[in-house]
Amino acid sequence: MLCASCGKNQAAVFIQEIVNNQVREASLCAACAEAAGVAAGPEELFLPGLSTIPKEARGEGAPRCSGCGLFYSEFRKTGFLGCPTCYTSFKPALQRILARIHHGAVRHRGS
Amino acid sequence: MQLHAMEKLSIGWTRPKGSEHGAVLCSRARLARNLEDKPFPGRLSPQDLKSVLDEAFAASDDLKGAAKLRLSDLDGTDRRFLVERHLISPDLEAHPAARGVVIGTGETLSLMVNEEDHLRISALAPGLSLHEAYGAAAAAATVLSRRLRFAYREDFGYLTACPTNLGTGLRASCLLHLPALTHSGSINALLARLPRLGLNARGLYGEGTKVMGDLYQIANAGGFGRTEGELLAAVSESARRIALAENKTRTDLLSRPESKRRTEDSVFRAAGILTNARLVSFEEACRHLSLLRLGLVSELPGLPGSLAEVNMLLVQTQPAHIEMRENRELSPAERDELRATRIRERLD
Ligand SMILES: [Zn+2]
Ligand SMILES: [Zn+2]
Repeated sequence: MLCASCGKNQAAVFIQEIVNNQVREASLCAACAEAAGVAAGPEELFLPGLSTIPKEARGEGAPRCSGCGLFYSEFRKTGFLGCPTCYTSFKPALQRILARIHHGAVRHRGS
Repeated sequence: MQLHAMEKLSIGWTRPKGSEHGAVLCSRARLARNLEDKPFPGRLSPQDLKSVLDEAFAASDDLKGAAKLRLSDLDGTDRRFLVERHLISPDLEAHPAARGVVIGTGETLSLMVNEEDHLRISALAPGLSLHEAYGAAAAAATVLSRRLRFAYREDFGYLTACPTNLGTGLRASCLLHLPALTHSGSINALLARLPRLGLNARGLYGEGTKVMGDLYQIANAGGFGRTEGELLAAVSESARRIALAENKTRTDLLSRPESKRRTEDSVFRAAGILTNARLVSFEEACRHLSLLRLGLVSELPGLPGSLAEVNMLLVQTQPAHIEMRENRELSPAERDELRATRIRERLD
């Protein structure tokens, strides 16, 4: 069997990984396995529901954080906010997203 | 390699503890916190990142006996060693400039500075003991809050760079060893149920996804709108249920003569390789240590080692641990040889 990563060398190592809460299996050659070794894959920045919100174009008049200058469209692209004030600047949009990714929750509970 | 001395320290959370320890190796609570007057690390200049690091290190003077490490002062082996020890994330390891970690005594508490959030406070406890881990993390957060002002508001809770962590900032996770469920093929059906409970599964090193040694991490997937108590209970309950399923599957495997013979054969073959091989890769060590651990949990007579020993070996056979022990960089072949020697010594 050939390596699932490079497709060139003979597979020597059997690897399992979790994708979307399912274990998947792959056979890699020694070199690709060593390269994959301890280093983990990139963290999924996937925010379920984000892609269903209509895009607004970035540019003149585009929503921007008054604290750090982050464009809302940048947040949409990366999934990361820029500063604590972003939560004020983008509050209505964030509340819609939060309700979607956190099963309808709109308010913090806990200490 | 500055952290050479750490390699010899025992690791608090590898101690087998509690009635669920066969399947639940350890529990971890992580709290995300940010300083209220600064952009999140992703939008800070190198200079501002450094000032956050200085502030966080000054505030951690109040954490008794904690060691402060600037990642830029450490070499690659030191940093990979900290990842293998579950004290920093792979992401922090990859971006050492103006990043740091504070490590408490016994290595159960760690404070990452300038990861995705300014502060990531995390506590580890052996076995299924999420409440104990959370107590330690929350106590450290309280100590730090004496000198640092955290970004918090009534409606959103603790503010985080990524909205998935918003609210309590808590990620509660358990590290599970599930060889019977994995080998019987029923693991996927169990993992598929997690999203509906607001949970997810990951591999050994948390942020990534690779599964080694049949080790899985389950954790809450975000937690906005849920209290700390609710999150801890949800993860504990699921970990307990999965541990029960693992125990039941293992008992089933060993109750039918045919599958008992096959399982015992796999376990004793693994023990044979571990106690005799001269070259062992980390991947191979994980595979065989997992089977040996399955045999030890099942109390099969005549196996080498103990649960405590195997738990430690799962940590100490990792590549940077082998280098740290030798105090020099090694080729993969040298590592494989030293790993095999180390395993034979410990299981002898
Ligand atoms: Zn390959
Ligand atoms: Zn902002």
